[in-house]
Amino acid sequence: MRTMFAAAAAFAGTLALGAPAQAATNFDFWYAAGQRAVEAQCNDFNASQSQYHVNCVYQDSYESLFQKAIAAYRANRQPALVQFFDGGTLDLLLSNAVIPVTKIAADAGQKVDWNDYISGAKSYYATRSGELYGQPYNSSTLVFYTNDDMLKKAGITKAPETWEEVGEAAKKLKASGVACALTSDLHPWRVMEEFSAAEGIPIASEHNGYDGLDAKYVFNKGLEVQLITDLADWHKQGMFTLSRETKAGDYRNAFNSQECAMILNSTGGYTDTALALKGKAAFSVHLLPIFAGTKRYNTFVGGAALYAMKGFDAKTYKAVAAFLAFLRSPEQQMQMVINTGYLPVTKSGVKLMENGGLANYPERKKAAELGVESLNFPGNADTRGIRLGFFVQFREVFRAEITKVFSGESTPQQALDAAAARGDEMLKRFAATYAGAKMP
Amino acid sequence: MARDGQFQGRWWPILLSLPQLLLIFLFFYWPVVIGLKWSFFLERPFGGSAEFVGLANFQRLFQDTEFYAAAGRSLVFMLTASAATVLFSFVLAVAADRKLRLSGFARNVLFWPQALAGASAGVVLSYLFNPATGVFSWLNTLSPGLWNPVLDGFDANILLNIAYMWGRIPIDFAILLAGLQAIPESYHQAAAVDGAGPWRRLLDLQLPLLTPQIFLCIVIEFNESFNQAFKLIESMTHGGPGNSTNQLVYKIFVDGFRGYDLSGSSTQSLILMLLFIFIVVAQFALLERRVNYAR
Repeated sequence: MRTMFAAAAAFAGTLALGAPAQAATNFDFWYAAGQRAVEAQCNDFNASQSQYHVNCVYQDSYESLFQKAIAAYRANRQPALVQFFDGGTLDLLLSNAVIPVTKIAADAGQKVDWNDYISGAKSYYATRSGELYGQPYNSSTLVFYTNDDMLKKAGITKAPETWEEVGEAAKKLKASGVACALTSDLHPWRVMEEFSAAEGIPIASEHNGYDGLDAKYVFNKGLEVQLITDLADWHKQGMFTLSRETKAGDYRNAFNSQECAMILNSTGGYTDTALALKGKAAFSVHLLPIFAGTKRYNTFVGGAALYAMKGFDAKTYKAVAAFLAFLRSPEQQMQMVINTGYLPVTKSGVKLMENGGLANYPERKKAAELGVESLNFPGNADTRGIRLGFFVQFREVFRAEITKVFSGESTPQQALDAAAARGDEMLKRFAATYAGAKMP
Repeated sequence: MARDGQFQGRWWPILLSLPQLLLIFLFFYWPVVIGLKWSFFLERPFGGSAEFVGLANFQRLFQDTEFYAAAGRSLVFMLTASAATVLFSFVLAVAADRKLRLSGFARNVLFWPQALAGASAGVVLSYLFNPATGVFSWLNTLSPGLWNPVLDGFDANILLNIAYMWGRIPIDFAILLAGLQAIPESYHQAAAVDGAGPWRRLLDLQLPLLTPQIFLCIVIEFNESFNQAFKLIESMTHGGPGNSTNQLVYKIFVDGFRGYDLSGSSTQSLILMLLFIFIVVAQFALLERRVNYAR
């Protein structure tokens, strides 16, 4: 097993040798999402000046990027800049392997108004005192997609806004002959984390871990149980299909091929869907459903942020700072939105979007505006983000336990209790692993 | 030179085997040593101060029901997949050994799956056995939900067994067929003269003379199914549904590489290694005594 780390590090090392020889300050940037869009940004940056050169290396997936980064860091061959995803935030904050981007900018003599970041995007990657550790990059949030042609055929004129209405719509869709009304892969980001945020309820104590490493999971009490119970009932009645039960085998493909009428998906998937359904069917995106009679809060930002890794000289960090500043610019954010469907994450970026930045992309604008609206709802102490250890592993545990509900092995309460109990074990172990570490 | 084919001196042999030894040391022994160390520490993913915790990692593991469940799944899979593979290979080998028309062609065709990587086979087979569109989907028209490997753990395990067998039959088939063909024709003729029919010859002649090959097959299948189910699980079920195919090899990978729990993962791989050493020793102690090498 360990050999994989060594092999990954060796491989990463050979990749790093691919940088063109120049007088400019070179540095490596590893990323794993939005391949074409990021490549375009790298090329633009390199073409825009001759002082610095970023060597962008695509790493297939967040998980494998994280694995390789760990291996590379241990072998002292890490890149100067990496894109890390939301789930690994606390692992990074305590890793002692990264330098806050605020420090990178300050050391390079940049004056940055970090409060320009919209609060929903900032709080997820910031320390308790509000200092950004990673620079929010490709950001998305969870929204609700509906195939409006299928809804219309079933006699539904208004897209569902509450889970109760989702249930009614699914019933009507089924009656109209739709085999798959609603589908989901049960990933906790979709059916637990974003749901809890939108409802303003905690996932774990200590405000989702922001106040200390001794947090315990609490999602197994309250509305989450109701949501899973509803989904399980709908599944029994043929109104909810698991992602892997669909013909397409994947919830996004199932929606994009018009097999399923409703999905929960990231705003980042908007472009794919628009391309797939172009000229075939009308679809629209909406705020995440909440339960009737509850108040709506901001959703979490999903996606990833950029982190500077330790182990380089001031000259390199200056180059990194220049690249980060380039990516922060409203124009580059707009490029990202256009090429992917991710969201602008600063107020100035949003402003540019409103003032013609997306004039040629009216549909893209609709999705991005909805995402920003979702992030900008008033929040509370539990909607800042998630600061829980071994959270990536917990996501696997959650999914495994919840699947048991749909095979009839567990009741929703049993499954959620089991997931929480195993999660608590992991939190305890994480706290022991980082005994004495100070939470920034 | 004293004799052909023998190297002189003490250093030549060592020098020539050095590259191989180096690789084994680098990619096997060194990781084992590191893993052993991490099993007694709480290792942070990005390094830094690791705390010595003695046997705490083992204690935690031995209280974790999911660990026992995963080890149990590995053992059950090892037994079912190995038994089914060797049995099917034996039947096919006996059939191909008979001088039937097309048996030469069949021997070739049966070996083809061997050329396919496990992960590719997994991807192909999970489409082939998709509950909505796959070859078993007709079962669901008889009774809805009869075949649903994405939701039903039992079905998922059947799928895993089928996929495993499909990939492993060729090699066992080749070994057993070679064994059968090595049995001199005169034995068959002598037995036939004594009035033994095909079944009698199979049980009393071919089976006893084939025990070395069967033992070899069982040993390699035990090894392969216990340790190498990973690629099929990763490409087909991801340990699901609901952990039902989360075998120890897969759990170690997920804990270590997806969950960054390096210490927990190392502790489990150490136990896996000990468990497997025990299995191999037991095989040789119990089974090999029944093997008849003399012909």
